[in-house]
Amino acid sequence: MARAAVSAYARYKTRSAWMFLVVPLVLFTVFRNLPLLIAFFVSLQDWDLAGNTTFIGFRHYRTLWDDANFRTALTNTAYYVAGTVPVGIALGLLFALALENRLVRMKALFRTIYFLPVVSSMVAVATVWNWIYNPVFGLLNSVTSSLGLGRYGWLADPQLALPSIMVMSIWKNIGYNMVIYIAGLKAVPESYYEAAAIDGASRWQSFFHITLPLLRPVTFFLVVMGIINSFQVFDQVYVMSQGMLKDSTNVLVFYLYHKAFNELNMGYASAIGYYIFIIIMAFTAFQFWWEKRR
Amino acid sequence: MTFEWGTGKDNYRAREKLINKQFEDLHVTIRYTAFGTYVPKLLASFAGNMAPDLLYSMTGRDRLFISKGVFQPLNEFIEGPDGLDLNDFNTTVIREQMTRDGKVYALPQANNTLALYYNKDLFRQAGLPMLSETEPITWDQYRDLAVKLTRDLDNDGTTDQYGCVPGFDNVQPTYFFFVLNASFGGTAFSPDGTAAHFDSPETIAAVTWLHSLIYEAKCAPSPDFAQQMGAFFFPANRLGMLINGPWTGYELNQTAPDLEFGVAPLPYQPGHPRKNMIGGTAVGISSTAKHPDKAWKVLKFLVSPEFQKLPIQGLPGRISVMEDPEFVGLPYWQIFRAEMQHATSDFFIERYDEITTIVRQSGERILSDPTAKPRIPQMLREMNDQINALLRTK
Repeated sequence: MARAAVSAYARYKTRSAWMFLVVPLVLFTVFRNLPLLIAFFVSLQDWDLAGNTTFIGFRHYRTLWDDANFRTALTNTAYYVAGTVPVGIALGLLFALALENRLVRMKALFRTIYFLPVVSSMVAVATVWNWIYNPVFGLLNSVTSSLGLGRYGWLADPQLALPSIMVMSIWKNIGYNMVIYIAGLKAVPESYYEAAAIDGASRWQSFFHITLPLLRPVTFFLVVMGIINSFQVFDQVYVMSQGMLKDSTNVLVFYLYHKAFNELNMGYASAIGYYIFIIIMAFTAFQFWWEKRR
Repeated sequence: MTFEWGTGKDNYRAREKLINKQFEDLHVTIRYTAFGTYVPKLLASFAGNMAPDLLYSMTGRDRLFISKGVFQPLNEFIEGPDGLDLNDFNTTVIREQMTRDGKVYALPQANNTLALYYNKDLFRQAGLPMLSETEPITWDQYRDLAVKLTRDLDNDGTTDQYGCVPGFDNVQPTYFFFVLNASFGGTAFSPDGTAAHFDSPETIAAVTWLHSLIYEAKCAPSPDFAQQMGAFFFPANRLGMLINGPWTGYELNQTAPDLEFGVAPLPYQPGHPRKNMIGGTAVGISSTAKHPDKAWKVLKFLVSPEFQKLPIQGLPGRISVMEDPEFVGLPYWQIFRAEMQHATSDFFIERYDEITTIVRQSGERILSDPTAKPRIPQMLREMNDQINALLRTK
């Protein structure tokens, strides 16, 4: 009797769980999984958006390896990821430590100021930075010129274009990394520092032996998310390089967009999308494996 | 009934009202799409079974749209009892851009050519005379003027004001390159449009001349630099001359009413005939339109003299409108009209959009490299091979 009641209760709970799950599951399937599946089928075809489709198998995937623009985009994206993720995380930690310092006052105000760019639209921020970087009217060149350092084509010079976009991206995301680190810092028990101080540990020793190791899960999260987001960089490149396909700022998602919406080569663009997916998946899996191994 | 509109955002609602006032038995809704994303959004609407009944086409896209099957032939309507006299339009444009296998797929709403805009204040400051509205200067005279207009305003060793721009950017569009090439005697494609000719001595001469503007005469910024300066470069008195279409005059009047600018005919290369391009907007009926006869009525109104007399960003598509003494067009529109007699549209082939991307990329590579001059023939050969490879694909 009791067993039957438990079983009925379990069935009721399972039914309730399914009832709650069914709506998000349907939405997720229709708007996430299905488009992913369709994109895979599109990647096996030549499709120009106007209805003319030809099945070509994995030809796009093979062609991509011989495509110099794709290799350039891959290299540029790797450069972007390598430049923005570590620097952004290091600066986020630095700002978090500075704001958590007992001597700093009006912490909430500073937190808001640093977090403001994170909640601002990337397009709006990139437009403002476009002005800052303008070679003749821009703020940055006014400063460098007044210091006798000359004027630079920040976004026009192929050597400076991508680093300039990276600086803007780092600036925009510092607030996000900082807030996550602040949450991590607040979770470190004060007693650990007190014990270390009693044992005669210096502030640097406390930082390297208590703070950093205890922030490792936070850092891991920021690295994983940072790499995933940086591999998908697009908005700022589109706005700041004015939609032109340049070697110096050609990144993967921008190249995908260009192939899809400028050249109307939907199959090829979908194949690029799948390569991006595989790369991000591989990086993320590697990071999880590495973290687990340690 | 829906009408996909891809040009002139500022007054499309007023146009919608005007169109609907004409017809009691139907309602037209204009769907506005920004110019830059018009083509993919339009084609996506066909892929998603949400195609409009009527649609705009624009410079360089007519043949693309015809090949993609987005238009339906208009011959039956043109020749029918409620038809139109095509002789009131620029028949060359209709024949070269809007006709395939004897079928007409769209009709011109507005026409465009290129002309030389110049900043009168900067000309005065440099002690230069204003340019003639009828007699064109040569490309070398254009370069000499550009040198005189180029200045380092704050004496910090860098140029703050340029005489001209090389094109391939949002200040001066890539159309310019095709026209310059033609002006130097170059032919972009074979007559059947299946082979590119950008490795010819004439194209090499045109690109070498462009390269010399930046690195020898030092009167133009690199395309990247000009791109970053943006569209406000000219109205901000930092650019002496600019080659663009009639829409630029319209935009300058809206955004910089105090700017004193003049317009002159497009420069030419001695020893070669004068050249220009003819493009513009056109209207066609969608291949999926459910009521093509009603769509024809609306199309007829859209290309009617009455509608074309409204302020538009180009020259009216109707000859009778341009010849109407009461017609008030854009500033200097007669100069753009006079350029029509030198205009060609033979480089607006079916795959013009994709080819433009390759041309922009290659143009940027050549013109951004100060040491590229001896390698220009090789770089143009590579560009040509790339375009030919594209033309060989379906």
